[in-house]
Amino acid sequence: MPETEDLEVHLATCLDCAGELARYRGLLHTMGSLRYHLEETPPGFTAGVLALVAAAEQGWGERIVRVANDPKIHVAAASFGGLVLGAAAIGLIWWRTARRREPFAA
Amino acid sequence: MELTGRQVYTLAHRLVGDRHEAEDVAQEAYLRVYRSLRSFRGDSRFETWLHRVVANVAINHMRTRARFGELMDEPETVVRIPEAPSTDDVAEREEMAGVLAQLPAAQRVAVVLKDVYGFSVSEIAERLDTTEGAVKLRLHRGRRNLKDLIHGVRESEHAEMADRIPEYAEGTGA
Repeated sequence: MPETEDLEVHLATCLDCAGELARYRGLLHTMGSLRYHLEETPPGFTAGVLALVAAAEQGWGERIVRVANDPKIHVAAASFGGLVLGAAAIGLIWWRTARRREPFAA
Repeated sequence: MELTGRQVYTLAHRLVGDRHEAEDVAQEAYLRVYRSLRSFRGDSRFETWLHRVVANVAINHMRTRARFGELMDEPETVVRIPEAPSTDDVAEREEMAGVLAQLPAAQRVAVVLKDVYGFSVSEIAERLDTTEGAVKLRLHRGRRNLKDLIHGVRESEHAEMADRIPEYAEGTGA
Protein backbone atom coordinates (compact mmCIF):
# COMPACT_ATOMS: atom_id res chain seq x y z
CA MET A 1 0.00 0.00 0.00
CA PRO A 2 1.75 3.19 -1.15
CA GLU A 3 -0.07 5.42 1.41
CA THR A 4 1.51 3.48 4.28
CA GLU A 5 4.94 3.16 2.72
CA ASP A 6 6.39 6.17 4.58
CA LEU A 7 4.97 4.86 7.85
CA GLU A 8 6.48 1.42 7.25
CA VAL A 9 9.88 2.96 6.54
CA HIS A 10 9.60 4.99 9.73
CA LEU A 11 8.51 1.97 11.80
CA ALA A 12 11.52 0.03 10.58
CA THR A 13 13.88 2.64 11.99
CA CYS A 14 12.05 4.07 15.05
CA LEU A 15 11.97 1.85 18.12
CA ASP A 16 9.53 4.15 19.89
CA CYS A 17 6.89 3.94 17.13
CA ALA A 18 7.53 0.21 16.56
CA GLY A 19 6.78 -0.30 20.26
CA GLU A 20 3.61 1.76 19.88
CA LEU A 21 2.53 -0.46 16.98
CA ALA A 22 3.20 -3.59 19.04
CA ARG A 23 1.10 -2.19 21.90
CA TYR A 24 -1.79 -1.43 19.52
CA ARG A 25 -1.63 -4.90 18.03
CA GLY A 26 -1.72 -6.41 21.50
CA LEU A 27 -4.68 -4.20 22.34
CA LEU A 28 -6.61 -5.26 19.23
CA HIS A 29 -5.81 -8.90 19.89
CA THR A 30 -7.07 -8.71 23.47
CA MET A 31 -10.21 -6.88 22.36
CA GLY A 32 -10.91 -9.51 19.71
CA SER A 33 -10.61 -12.26 22.32
CA LEU A 34 -13.18 -10.51 24.55
CA ARG A 35 -15.87 -11.77 22.20
CA TYR A 36 -15.29 -15.32 23.38
CA HIS A 37 -14.99 -14.41 27.03
CA LEU A 38 -18.60 -14.49 28.19
CA GLU A 39 -19.90 -13.03 31.42
CA GLU A 40 -22.22 -14.89 33.73
CA THR A 41 -25.82 -13.75 33.56
CA PRO A 42 -27.21 -12.26 36.78
CA PRO A 43 -29.24 -14.60 39.04
CA GLY A 44 -32.82 -14.92 37.84
CA PHE A 45 -32.00 -13.74 34.33
CA THR A 46 -33.29 -16.85 32.56
CA ALA A 47 -36.44 -16.95 34.68
CA GLY A 48 -37.03 -13.28 33.92
CA VAL A 49 -36.69 -13.82 30.18
CA LEU A 50 -39.00 -16.83 30.23
CA ALA A 51 -41.59 -14.85 32.22
CA LEU A 52 -41.39 -12.02 29.68
CA VAL A 53 -41.83 -14.43 26.78
CA ALA A 54 -44.74 -16.16 28.51
CA ALA A 55 -46.42 -12.82 29.20
CA ALA A 56 -45.92 -11.74 25.62
CA GLU A 57 -47.34 -15.05 24.34
CA GLN A 58 -50.67 -14.28 25.98
CA GLY A 59 -51.03 -10.80 24.55
CA TRP A 60 -53.09 -10.15 21.41
CA GLY A 61 -50.30 -8.10 19.92
CA GLU A 62 -47.94 -11.06 20.20
CA ARG A 63 -50.48 -13.37 18.58
CA ILE A 64 -50.91 -10.95 15.68
CA VAL A 65 -47.14 -10.62 15.28
CA ARG A 66 -46.77 -14.42 15.33
CA VAL A 67 -49.48 -14.88 12.70
CA ALA A 68 -48.02 -12.06 10.59
CA ASN A 69 -44.58 -13.72 10.70
CA ASP A 70 -45.85 -17.19 9.83
CA PRO A 71 -44.66 -18.22 6.32
CA LYS A 72 -47.77 -20.40 5.87
CA ILE A 73 -49.95 -17.35 6.40
CA HIS A 74 -47.85 -15.47 3.83
CA VAL A 75 -48.46 -18.20 1.22
CA ALA A 76 -52.18 -18.35 2.05
CA ALA A 77 -52.50 -14.56 1.84
CA ALA A 78 -50.66 -14.45 -1.48
CA SER A 79 -52.87 -17.24 -2.88
CA PHE A 80 -56.02 -15.53 -1.68
CA GLY A 81 -54.86 -12.22 -3.10
CA GLY A 82 -54.13 -13.88 -6.45
CA LEU A 83 -57.54 -15.49 -6.44
CA VAL A 84 -59.29 -12.18 -5.73
CA LEU A 85 -57.28 -10.39 -8.43
CA GLY A 86 -58.00 -13.15 -10.94
CA ALA A 87 -61.73 -13.08 -10.17
CA ALA A 88 -61.76 -9.30 -10.46
CA ALA A 89 -59.99 -9.45 -13.84
CA ILE A 90 -62.43 -12.07 -15.18
CA GLY A 91 -65.36 -10.02 -13.88
CA LEU A 92 -64.03 -6.88 -15.54
CA ILE A 93 -63.53 -8.64 -18.89
CA TRP A 94 -67.00 -10.15 -18.69
CA TRP A 95 -68.56 -6.79 -17.86
CA ARG A 96 -66.80 -4.96 -20.71
CA THR A 97 -67.72 -7.70 -23.19
CA ALA A 98 -71.34 -7.55 -22.08
CA ARG A 99 -71.38 -3.76 -22.54
CA ARG A 100 -69.95 -4.01 -26.05
CA ARG A 101 -72.62 -6.55 -27.07
CA GLU A 102 -75.48 -4.30 -25.97
CA PRO A 103 -74.38 -0.77 -26.89
CA PHE A 104 -77.89 0.58 -27.56
CA ALA A 105 -79.78 -1.52 -25.03
CA ALA A 106 -80.92 1.56 -23.13
CA MET B 1 -30.59 -20.58 26.22
CA GLU B 2 -27.68 -20.86 28.67
CA LEU B 3 -25.09 -19.96 26.02
CA THR B 4 -27.11 -17.40 24.04
CA GLY B 5 -28.21 -15.81 27.32
CA ARG B 6 -24.59 -15.19 28.24
CA GLN B 7 -23.78 -13.94 24.74
CA VAL B 8 -26.70 -11.52 24.79
CA TYR B 9 -25.95 -10.29 28.31
CA THR B 10 -22.21 -9.88 27.67
CA LEU B 11 -22.71 -7.76 24.55
CA ALA B 12 -25.42 -5.69 26.27
CA HIS B 13 -23.13 -5.06 29.25
CA ARG B 14 -20.19 -4.06 27.05
CA LEU B 15 -22.34 -1.64 25.10
CA VAL B 16 -24.24 0.08 27.90
CA GLY B 17 -21.47 -0.27 30.49
CA ASP B 18 -23.80 -0.93 33.44
CA ARG B 19 -24.90 -4.31 34.81
CA HIS B 20 -28.46 -3.36 35.73
CA GLU B 21 -29.15 -1.63 32.45
CA ALA B 22 -27.52 -4.53 30.63
CA GLU B 23 -30.02 -6.92 32.21
CA ASP B 24 -32.95 -4.82 30.94
CA VAL B 25 -31.40 -4.58 27.49
CA ALA B 26 -30.64 -8.31 27.37
CA GLN B 27 -34.19 -9.25 28.35
CA GLU B 28 -35.70 -6.88 25.81
CA ALA B 29 -33.33 -8.19 23.14
CA TYR B 30 -34.32 -11.75 23.98
CA LEU B 31 -37.98 -10.88 23.61
CA ARG B 32 -37.26 -9.30 20.24
CA VAL B 33 -35.28 -12.37 19.17
CA TYR B 34 -38.21 -14.57 20.19
CA ARG B 35 -40.66 -12.41 18.25
CA SER B 36 -38.62 -12.28 15.07
CA LEU B 37 -37.17 -15.77 15.17
CA ARG B 38 -39.57 -16.87 12.44
CA SER B 39 -38.34 -14.11 10.18
CA PHE B 40 -34.71 -15.20 10.60
CA ARG B 41 -33.97 -16.58 7.16
CA GLY B 42 -30.49 -17.86 7.75
CA ASP B 43 -28.86 -15.33 5.40
CA SER B 44 -26.29 -14.73 8.12
CA ARG B 45 -25.07 -16.82 11.05
CA PHE B 46 -27.46 -16.95 13.96
CA GLU B 47 -24.81 -15.44 16.23
CA THR B 48 -24.30 -12.47 13.89
CA TRP B 49 -28.03 -11.89 13.71
CA LEU B 50 -28.28 -12.14 17.50
CA HIS B 51 -25.51 -9.56 17.93
CA ARG B 52 -27.29 -7.18 15.54
CA VAL B 53 -30.54 -7.45 17.48
CA VAL B 54 -28.77 -6.79 20.80
CA ALA B 55 -26.84 -3.83 19.32
CA ASN B 56 -30.08 -2.28 18.05
CA VAL B 57 -31.84 -2.72 21.38
CA ALA B 58 -28.86 -1.36 23.34
CA ILE B 59 -28.53 1.71 21.11
CA ASN B 60 -32.28 2.40 21.32
CA HIS B 61 -32.12 1.94 25.08
CA MET B 62 -29.31 4.46 25.41
CA ARG B 63 -31.24 6.89 23.24
CA THR B 64 -34.42 6.65 25.23
CA ARG B 65 -32.67 6.85 28.60
CA ALA B 66 -31.73 10.45 27.89
CA ARG B 67 -28.30 9.32 26.86
CA PHE B 68 -28.84 10.21 23.22
CA GLY B 69 -26.54 13.22 23.53
CA GLU B 70 -23.94 11.06 25.20
CA LEU B 71 -24.23 8.53 22.41
CA MET B 72 -23.94 11.12 19.66
CA ASP B 73 -21.29 13.16 21.42
CA GLU B 74 -17.76 13.06 20.10
CA PRO B 75 -15.65 14.26 22.99
CA GLU B 76 -11.99 14.81 22.19
CA THR B 77 -10.89 13.29 25.49
CA VAL B 78 -13.09 12.90 28.54
CA VAL B 79 -11.35 9.90 29.99
CA ARG B 80 -9.43 10.45 33.22
CA ILE B 81 -6.10 8.73 32.87
CA PRO B 82 -4.75 7.25 36.11
CA GLU B 83 -1.61 8.93 37.39
CA ALA B 84 0.43 5.78 37.73
CA PRO B 85 1.07 4.11 34.39
CA SER B 86 -0.65 0.76 34.08
CA THR B 87 1.35 -2.41 34.18
CA ASP B 88 1.21 -5.22 31.66
CA ASP B 89 -1.20 -7.37 33.63
CA VAL B 90 -3.87 -4.65 33.20
CA ALA B 91 -4.18 -5.86 29.63
CA GLU B 92 -5.84 -9.05 30.86
CA ARG B 93 -9.23 -9.58 29.32
CA GLU B 94 -11.34 -8.90 32.35
CA GLU B 95 -9.54 -5.70 33.10
CA MET B 96 -9.80 -4.69 29.48
CA ALA B 97 -13.58 -5.13 29.79
CA GLY B 98 -13.52 -2.86 32.85
CA VAL B 99 -11.47 -0.25 31.03
CA LEU B 100 -13.87 -0.36 28.06
CA ALA B 101 -16.69 0.62 30.42
CA GLN B 102 -14.80 3.82 31.27
CA LEU B 103 -14.91 5.09 27.69
CA PRO B 104 -17.57 7.65 26.73
CA ALA B 105 -20.65 5.90 25.33
CA ALA B 106 -20.09 7.09 21.77
CA GLN B 107 -16.55 5.72 21.68
CA ARG B 108 -17.39 2.55 23.60
CA VAL B 109 -20.20 1.54 21.23
CA ALA B 110 -17.97 2.06 18.17
CA VAL B 111 -14.98 0.19 19.66
CA VAL B 112 -17.00 -2.72 21.06
CA LEU B 113 -18.98 -3.27 17.85
CA LYS B 114 -15.95 -2.93 15.56
CA ASP B 115 -13.00 -4.35 17.48
CA VAL B 116 -14.73 -6.94 19.64
CA TYR B 117 -17.67 -8.07 17.52
CA GLY B 118 -16.39 -7.34 14.02
CA PHE B 119 -19.18 -5.07 12.76
CA SER B 120 -18.22 -3.02 9.69
CA VAL B 121 -17.90 0.76 9.95
CA SER B 122 -20.87 1.23 7.61
CA GLU B 123 -23.02 -1.11 9.70
CA ILE B 124 -22.18 0.83 12.87
CA ALA B 125 -22.88 4.14 11.12
CA GLU B 126 -26.26 2.84 9.99
CA ARG B 127 -27.20 1.70 13.49
CA LEU B 128 -26.08 4.94 15.10
CA ASP B 129 -27.70 6.95 12.30
CA THR B 130 -24.48 8.81 11.59
CA THR B 131 -21.75 8.95 8.94
CA GLU B 132 -18.88 6.51 8.44
CA GLY B 133 -16.47 9.38 9.02
CA ALA B 134 -17.98 10.06 12.43
CA VAL B 135 -17.68 6.38 13.35
CA LYS B 136 -14.02 6.31 12.25
CA LEU B 137 -13.33 9.36 14.39
CA ARG B 138 -14.94 7.71 17.44
CA LEU B 139 -13.00 4.54 16.81
CA HIS B 140 -9.75 6.47 16.56
CA ARG B 141 -10.38 8.38 19.79
CA GLY B 142 -11.75 5.33 21.58
CA ARG B 143 -8.71 3.19 20.73
CA ARG B 144 -6.33 5.96 21.71
CA ASN B 145 -8.11 6.45 25.05
CA LEU B 146 -8.13 2.72 25.63
CA LYS B 147 -4.41 2.47 24.95
CA ASP B 148 -3.73 5.43 27.25
CA LEU B 149 -5.84 3.86 30.01
CA ILE B 150 -4.01 0.56 29.74
CA HIS B 151 -0.45 1.56 28.94
CA GLY B 152 -0.45 5.11 30.26
CA VAL B 153 -0.01 8.27 28.21
CA ARG B 154 3.15 8.28 26.14
CA GLU B 155 4.34 11.40 24.45
CA SER B 156 5.72 10.41 21.10
CA GLU B 157 8.36 12.47 19.38
CA HIS B 158 6.72 11.56 16.10
CA ALA B 159 3.14 12.56 16.82
CA GLU B 160 2.04 12.53 13.20
CA MET B 161 3.33 9.01 12.61
CA ALA B 162 2.06 7.77 15.98
CA ASP B 163 -1.39 9.08 15.10
CA ARG B 164 -1.54 6.79 12.06
CA ILE B 165 -0.50 3.66 13.93
CA PRO B 166 -3.96 2.54 15.20
CA GLU B 167 -5.39 2.30 11.68
CA TYR B 168 -2.20 0.71 10.40
CA ALA B 169 -2.27 -1.87 13.22
CA GLU B 170 -5.86 -2.73 12.31
CA GLY B 171 -5.11 -2.99 8.61
CA THR B 172 -2.07 -5.21 8.99
CA GLY B 173 -3.51 -7.49 11.66
CA ALA B 174 -2.00 -8.75 14.86
